[in-house]
Amino acid sequence: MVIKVENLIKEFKEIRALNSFNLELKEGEILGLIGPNGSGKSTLLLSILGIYSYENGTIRVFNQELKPNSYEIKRKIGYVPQDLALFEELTVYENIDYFCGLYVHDRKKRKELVEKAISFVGLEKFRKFVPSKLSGGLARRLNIACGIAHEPELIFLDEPTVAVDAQSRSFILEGIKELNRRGATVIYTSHYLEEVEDLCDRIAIIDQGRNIITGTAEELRDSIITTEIIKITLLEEHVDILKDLRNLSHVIDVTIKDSEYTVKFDNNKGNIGDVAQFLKEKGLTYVKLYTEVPTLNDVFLELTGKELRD
Amino acid sequence: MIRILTYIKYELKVFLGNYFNMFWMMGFPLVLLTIFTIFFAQLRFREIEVEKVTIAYHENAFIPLSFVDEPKKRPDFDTIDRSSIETRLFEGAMLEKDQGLEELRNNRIDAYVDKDLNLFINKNGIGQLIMDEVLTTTKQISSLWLPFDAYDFERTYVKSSDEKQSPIDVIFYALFSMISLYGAYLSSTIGNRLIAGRQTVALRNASSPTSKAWQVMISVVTSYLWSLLLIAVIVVYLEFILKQHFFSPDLNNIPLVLAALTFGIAWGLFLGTVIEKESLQTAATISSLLILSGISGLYSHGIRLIIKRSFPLLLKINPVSLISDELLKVNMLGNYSTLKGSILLLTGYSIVLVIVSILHIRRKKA
Repeated sequence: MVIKVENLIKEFKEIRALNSFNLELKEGEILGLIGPNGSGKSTLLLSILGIYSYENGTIRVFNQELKPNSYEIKRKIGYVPQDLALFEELTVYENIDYFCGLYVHDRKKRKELVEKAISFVGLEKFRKFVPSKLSGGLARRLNIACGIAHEPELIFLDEPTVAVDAQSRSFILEGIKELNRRGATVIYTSHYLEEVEDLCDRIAIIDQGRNIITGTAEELRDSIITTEIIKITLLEEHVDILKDLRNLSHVIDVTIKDSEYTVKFDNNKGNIGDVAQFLKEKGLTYVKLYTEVPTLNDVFLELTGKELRD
Repeated sequence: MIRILTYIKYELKVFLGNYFNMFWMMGFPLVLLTIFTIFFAQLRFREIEVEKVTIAYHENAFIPLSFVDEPKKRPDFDTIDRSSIETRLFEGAMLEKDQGLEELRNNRIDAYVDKDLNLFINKNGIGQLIMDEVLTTTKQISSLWLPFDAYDFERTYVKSSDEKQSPIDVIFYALFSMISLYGAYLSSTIGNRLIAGRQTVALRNASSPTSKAWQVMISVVTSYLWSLLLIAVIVVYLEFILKQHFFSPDLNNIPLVLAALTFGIAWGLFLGTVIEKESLQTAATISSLLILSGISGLYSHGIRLIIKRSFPLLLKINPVSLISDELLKVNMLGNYSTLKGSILLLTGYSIVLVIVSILHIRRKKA
């Protein structure tokens, strides 16, 4: 086990940021942490890194407790903070060299690693630029390069794609997959659920400082009652059909938002035929009728009673 | 070693990476020196016409008072006329205490000195301050059983051994002392880069396997090197551009200046560590240096005299006063009597401040 967190309690004055938090991270996996702002994701990372003290619980990294002087363990860890953590006065090359040098003392080896990191994040043409001259996406890439240049075995990525254009986001996600393929174990936090689902082997849903559930995307979906969601847009809105839709077999919830009906089912998939038949019998014309599996947001909604993106 | 040099280079770039910082760290002290030179330099060696203080004194006070002018030949005290006295600072007549106090009450004299060298005054003023200074020094000499021809009552700030009286020198040395503490501006930023919850880079630095003590020391060394460069530039600028000669080629200046630089950096490190908000750190650094320099006479020689009279301990513990006094003594008087003690005190301050700062940085967790 690369990380094992047990019954972790972290408080900021009277606010309990982490409440009996438990988590395990296996070697070689990418674990996604999702949860709304203030749910405790960053606090968890900083507690594991030893930057935050905590009130109770245990944290073991590489089977050891991380202490201020656990330099050998720290050497294996890379951290990419949520906010850009760069020196505005240093160039791209110098920033990476500065942070890499905190881990790697040998000058020759460091030079190689810095060059590799620059190439890894695609900043070859910008090595002499200072961060303020980079676009948001490129600055994010630099932020990542500073955290991974020393080729850590365990990488913490705290929302690395916030405010990044689509091209850079795709570049970053591919890069994280590549790091994982090379053997790095990754903890990844994000607001972007599709990103997490695409990238992560397992996902932990965090709310109010608790780990609600951890598992693969499939396991998370299986953990909720909803199995299929059918969405309907009618040519004309008919609010009175809500009651009739609810009476269909296996329907557990029907809602309407922006003229779109959302019907949730609790049985196996294949309910769309019944819905089409129902609409035909009622003489209603639909513009759109489609089915989808529950998203992570649906999982979060059902487990916590609130939208993840609130 | 190469790693250390690389980090010093980066630290320097971070410290001085923009024109704003460069101005405050190098340009501003030069501007200050230039302004002070323009306004005050012509006063440095000019005779200052101060109206002599009118006093009365007891017969026993005559001899100590007569040494204020440092007579080249020891007078014959058995035959000398003690009924009146005139020195460059004061003039007056011998009176019994009752008569003297009566004269004082009637405002016919500024001060009365009794047989035990106690000063009696009826109001405060510059004349009374001068007499207080004279008598304080006289008593010190008596208590040390020194001969009165060792009289050196202005030794700490106004008298040159070979130049004329110049309170302006006090201002210049106080200014130079303040500049020697300029490393505080650099070192006050160190804590922000190491304590989580301040600058974002602190998260990276704090989570790295490089100890915080090592990171602090690199930043301190960088601040020190920059301060040394600043001092060298200041001295060259003063001596060769402004043509103001404050520094004699005396090796005793070296440990003194090094101790001053060390204290400045330790002071900034301490303030930057214990104060969380960056804006408050800057305000605290600026105001503390201005206050300490003010106490040592940066704004007015008179302020210093008042403090010396009311809170003499303040001048003895104020680091800027220690630096400016010693600089003046070394360069103007060739006096090293208190140099070692002052350097030790400054070094002691610095060690305590650095230790407290490192402990604070290491223990500080969010």
